[in-house]
Amino acid sequence: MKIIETQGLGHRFPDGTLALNGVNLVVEKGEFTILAGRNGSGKTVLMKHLKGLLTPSSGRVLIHGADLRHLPPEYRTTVGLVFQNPDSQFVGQTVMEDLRFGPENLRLPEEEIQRRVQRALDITSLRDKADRRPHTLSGGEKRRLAVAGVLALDPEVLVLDEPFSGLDLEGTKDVLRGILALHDLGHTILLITHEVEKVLAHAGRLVIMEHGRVVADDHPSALLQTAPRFGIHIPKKADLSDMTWIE
Amino acid sequence: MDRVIFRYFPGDSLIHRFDPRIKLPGCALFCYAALQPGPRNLAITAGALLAAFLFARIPLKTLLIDFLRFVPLLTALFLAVFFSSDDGGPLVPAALAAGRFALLILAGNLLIQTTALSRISAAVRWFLTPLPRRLAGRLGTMIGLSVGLIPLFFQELEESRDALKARGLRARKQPLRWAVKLLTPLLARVFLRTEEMAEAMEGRCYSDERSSLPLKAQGIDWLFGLAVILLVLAICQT
Repeated sequence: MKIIETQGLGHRFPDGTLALNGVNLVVEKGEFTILAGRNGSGKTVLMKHLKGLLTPSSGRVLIHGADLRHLPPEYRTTVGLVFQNPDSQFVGQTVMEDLRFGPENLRLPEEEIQRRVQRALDITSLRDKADRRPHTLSGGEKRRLAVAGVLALDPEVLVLDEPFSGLDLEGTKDVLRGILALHDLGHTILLITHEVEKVLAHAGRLVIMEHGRVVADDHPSALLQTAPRFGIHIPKKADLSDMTWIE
Repeated sequence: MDRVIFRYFPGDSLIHRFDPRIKLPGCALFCYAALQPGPRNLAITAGALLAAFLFARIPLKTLLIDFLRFVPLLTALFLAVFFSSDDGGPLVPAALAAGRFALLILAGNLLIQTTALSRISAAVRWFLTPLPRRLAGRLGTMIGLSVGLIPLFFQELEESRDALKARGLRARKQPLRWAVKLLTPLLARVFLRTEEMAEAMEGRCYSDERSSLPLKAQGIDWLFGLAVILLVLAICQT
């Protein structure tokens, strides 16, 4: 079942730079997709369009077949967006307060806010950190909190922008385990990264972008030879099953 | 140790639990009391504030170290009053003015340290109930976020200052050049961070009309309010 569909999506910045150039992409329910490409290839701009944070210069984004532009902001919960820099995402002064932010925006009753917050804390194993200040958490915990904040909106699709950047081995494993657990729970995952060797073994699909276009879209095993041409590092002689940081 | 000044300090003390709808005007009244003339009034309000800090279990040593960053400002105020005062010995009025200003900073700091942003926003929204719901919601969020952005500003200030220091530019040696070099990246970083935050808020479906944190005033809250009023009355009548 199609959840997200972009049709000829284009985005041009005010200075004339063409960030997206006719992107056609379909995300199906339950997929684990990796979106990769060089810096400036348009990944993050595409991600923002999927959440309706930018207005397309051309084309459109459909969520369950409905044009995203015609949906009011509070109904745009199908896609949950986790930004690259977790520190800039925290609006609450404690973990608990931060998690309440999304559900409060949806004008949910207090009982439902509490239920969602507790669920997000449980899924991301942050229950014992509920009263901590977000900025005092470790790198991995901050990423998990950023994911939890989005999970409290109960999205179907989780879009994660460079979730491993700046994390050490343990932090990366921690975040990766969390992402896999969310996929097991039925969430559709769209993961933007250029560190594909950390996660590719778990993905069912690899989409590569270059100059604002989708230039390759297939099962990861079919793109192992092609990917390096687009600036994506694939370890030499590595098997697809080795491309994970979880033993 | 982690900086504490103008940052929410999670806790479960009585001061933390006071209803913000009483705490906010209570803080304003306290500031009014702190501004009343005379060393006796200053001593009373300082004592009350110290007691509140102890009740709230704020680490005073760290707070004191953090507070040192305000010393240049207080010194400037002291000198300004010292050189402009023409009644009697200028030393006492200058010291009192600096002391009062220090108390105002610390009172505002105590409010921020013991009241979560969501509770401040909820209280502001409650006070603005007569206004249209959307406008009240927007103002509540704006005030709450402004308070929340203070530590963000300090964090960016420290990082920019350290970056300059690492490249050999120090405030003491070249103050003007240091200030110019500090200001440009600092403002750029603060604007970038606020823009990222705004985007993240929008990504989490930000709306002006939001569910508000339920607030409930209890007997102890009213007692607190009464205590502040009595303090102000006692000071104003002397």
